Amino acid sequence: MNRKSAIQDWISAIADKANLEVSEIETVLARYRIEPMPIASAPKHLSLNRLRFTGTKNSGENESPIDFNWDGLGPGLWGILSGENFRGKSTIIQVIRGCLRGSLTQTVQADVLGWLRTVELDFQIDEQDYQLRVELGGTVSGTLTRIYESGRSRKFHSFNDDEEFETAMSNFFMKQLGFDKFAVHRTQNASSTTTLHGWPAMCSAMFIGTKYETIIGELSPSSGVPVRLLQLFLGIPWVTTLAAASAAFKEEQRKQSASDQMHNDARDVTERRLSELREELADKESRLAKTAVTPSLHADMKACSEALQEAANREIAVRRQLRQAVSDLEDIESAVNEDRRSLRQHEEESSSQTVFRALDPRNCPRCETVISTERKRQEQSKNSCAVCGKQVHSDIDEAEVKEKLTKQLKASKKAQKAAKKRLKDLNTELAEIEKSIDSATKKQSTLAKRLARPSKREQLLTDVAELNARVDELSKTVPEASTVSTDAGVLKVIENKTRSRMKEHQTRLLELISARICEYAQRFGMTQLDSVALNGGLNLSVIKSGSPTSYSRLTDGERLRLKVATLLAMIAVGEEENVGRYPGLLVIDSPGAQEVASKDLEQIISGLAEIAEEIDHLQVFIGSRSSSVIRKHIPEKQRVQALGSNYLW
Amino acid sequence: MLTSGSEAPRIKTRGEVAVFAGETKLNAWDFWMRYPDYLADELIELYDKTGDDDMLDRAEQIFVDGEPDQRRLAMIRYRYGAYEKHDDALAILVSAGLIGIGGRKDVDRVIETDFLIHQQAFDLCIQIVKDEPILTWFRDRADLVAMIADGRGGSALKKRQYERVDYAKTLLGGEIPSIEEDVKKRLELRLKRPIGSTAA
Repeated sequence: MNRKSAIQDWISAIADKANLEVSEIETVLARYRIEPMPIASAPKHLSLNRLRFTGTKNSGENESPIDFNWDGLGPGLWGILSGENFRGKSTIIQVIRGCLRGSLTQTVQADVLGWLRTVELDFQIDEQDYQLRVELGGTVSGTLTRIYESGRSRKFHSFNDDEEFETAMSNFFMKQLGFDKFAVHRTQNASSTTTLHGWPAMCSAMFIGTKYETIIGELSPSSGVPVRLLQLFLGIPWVTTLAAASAAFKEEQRKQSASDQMHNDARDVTERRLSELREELADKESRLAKTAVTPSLHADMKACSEALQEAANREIAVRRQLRQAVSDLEDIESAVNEDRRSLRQHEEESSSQTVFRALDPRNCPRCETVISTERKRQEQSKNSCAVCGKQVHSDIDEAEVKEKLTKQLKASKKAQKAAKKRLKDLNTELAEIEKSIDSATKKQSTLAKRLARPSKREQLLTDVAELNARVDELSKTVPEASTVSTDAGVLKVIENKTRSRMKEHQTRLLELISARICEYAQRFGMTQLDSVALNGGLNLSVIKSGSPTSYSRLTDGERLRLKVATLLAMIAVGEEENVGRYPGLLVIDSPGAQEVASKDLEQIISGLAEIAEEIDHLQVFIGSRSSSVIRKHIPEKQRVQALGSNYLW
Repeated sequence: MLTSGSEAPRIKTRGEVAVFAGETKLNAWDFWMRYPDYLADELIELYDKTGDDDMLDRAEQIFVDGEPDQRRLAMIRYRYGAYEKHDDALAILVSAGLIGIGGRKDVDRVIETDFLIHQQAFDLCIQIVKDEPILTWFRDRADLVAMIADGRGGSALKKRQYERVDYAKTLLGGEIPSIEEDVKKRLELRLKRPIGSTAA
């Protein structure tokens, strides 16, 4: 599958899973700068061409110039051999390592470092030639220059102290070999630390010293670095894409989480307020429900006013009737008086008349002349007045008049009694009306006061309406779940799809590498080895003589074989698959110094010699005490050696 | 009134047993006879002078009996006092031989008319109360007026009657007004209870 179709296949898979259009996926990929890297960059090939260092050896009284120059290097197996130990093998390896790492002062042992004045390393990366020139002596300074085929040169870096030197070499190799710094996140106890690793860690993987704890590099597995080195060196397709996708997803998750938190906070605040309002509303509603539904005060007031008006009207009417009754009574009483007076007068007059009639006129009232007997006789016989001669006796029946006047008085008294009763009744009615007016007025006044201030119930009604409105309004403002999440979802899909592709490649590569490790280790003399399996966690399962075992339980010799076999397997498979970033250089130092039997070393070297032939671009340096076996496998032109007790430089 | 207000004659001229001195006195007496409210007023004055509760009882009885309405006989005020011609009434008495008209003359003008009361008048008054008891009121009232007048002469009585403010206010020639309400108040103030009610 070529690159283009691999990318199309990947995007389609993501689009299907995320249920989005391809164009939408492409937008997301562009937004988060996730580049599909379905094909790993092809392995770069680093190889050394020449090493030279000069200075003055100073051992006691003896001073002798140093000028070690090893030219004509290239791919293949190179031996640094001496008849005895401590004859300069390690210094050569240390200088190579110090040059590549950019840290001679920390790599070369102190006494030797003091002797050195110049170090020169010519090397090439995929046909590009470079020259490193370092001057020592108090300070470190130098240049890294690219040499073109035409002979022209271009200074890449120059440095004037240790730090600048290290930075220059680090930047150079990282860029040239296509490495990125990698962060290793470790949780130890309660605290977690993130360490950024770069060129020194990668560089160290190319040197196999005397530490066999880890299959790759020198740091312990617990540092987390070896696993990352494996992944980097494997250069599995999709790894960088996966890293970008993972980082983007994690960032979106973080944003999402922050956004969710903010949203949740906002929603919590709103919902808390809503819940408070609803509580208050429920309280007021229940209180309202308990309030007896009384007729509206206004209706009461109206009824009261009407009653008052009616009473007032009645009062006016009654007072009018009362005035009439008083007037009537007055009339009747004056009639009674009149009747009584008439009766009394009649009686008195009647009595008076009786008295006066009985009187016998004796003389003239005017002149007092005595009335004659003749005149008196005439009055008796003819009823003619003895004084004036007029008729004396009246025909009027006094009793009849009296009876009439008595009846008249009785009637008027009855009328008086009735009028008095009516007056009394009217007064009673008036008093009642006044009383009712009084109480109605009081009620009206009370109602007016109550009308002036809103009643409890009316207040509750107002409150409930207001609270309902506020709850409605606030309900609309409850924030919906944030919409930032879509990208996180897509990113998750991208991560998953990328990881599955990466895994697929990794699994296949690890299987290939595992098989090759087994093969190489067997060629290094581990004939009892049945199989090995390297997983992504850099765990190497070993089956030896039919029994499973692990790397850590093997002997140093076996572990050295497996370490070398692993690096070579990675290089070999990488070359075959055109995958991987391991730069193709391997330096093995003084295995003989350890508890590794010379037989072991010889087996390894014999294997290495063959394998080096099989893998293009592979350059292996091995520092060791010289032996016939070694010399047999490493051609003379490919070795520097100090036989007997001689020094290499 | 004539018998009640008469005195023993200083000199018997024409067989009279008593004398009622003067027309002015007769008018003054007549006023109290005909205006029970003014009479009650005088009874209150008398009570104030003497502290005699009987005066108040008598005054109260006047109102209880409704006398100001029943008994008042309006008089026309003439010149300086209640005045009415009594000639017609007196003529009857003269004709019946009950009284005679006497007079004190100053030169050629009668300045005062005295009424000469005969024994027959005293006898008649006694007989009237027996035969026509309804007329007893007149005798009693005349006795009451006599008590109020207390032997005072006509001028003194006339002066006394002028003292009544309301009386003086009365327009010349008009009827003498009732002072019933005013007197009732004065009476109740002294009774310390409404007229006609039972004493507490």
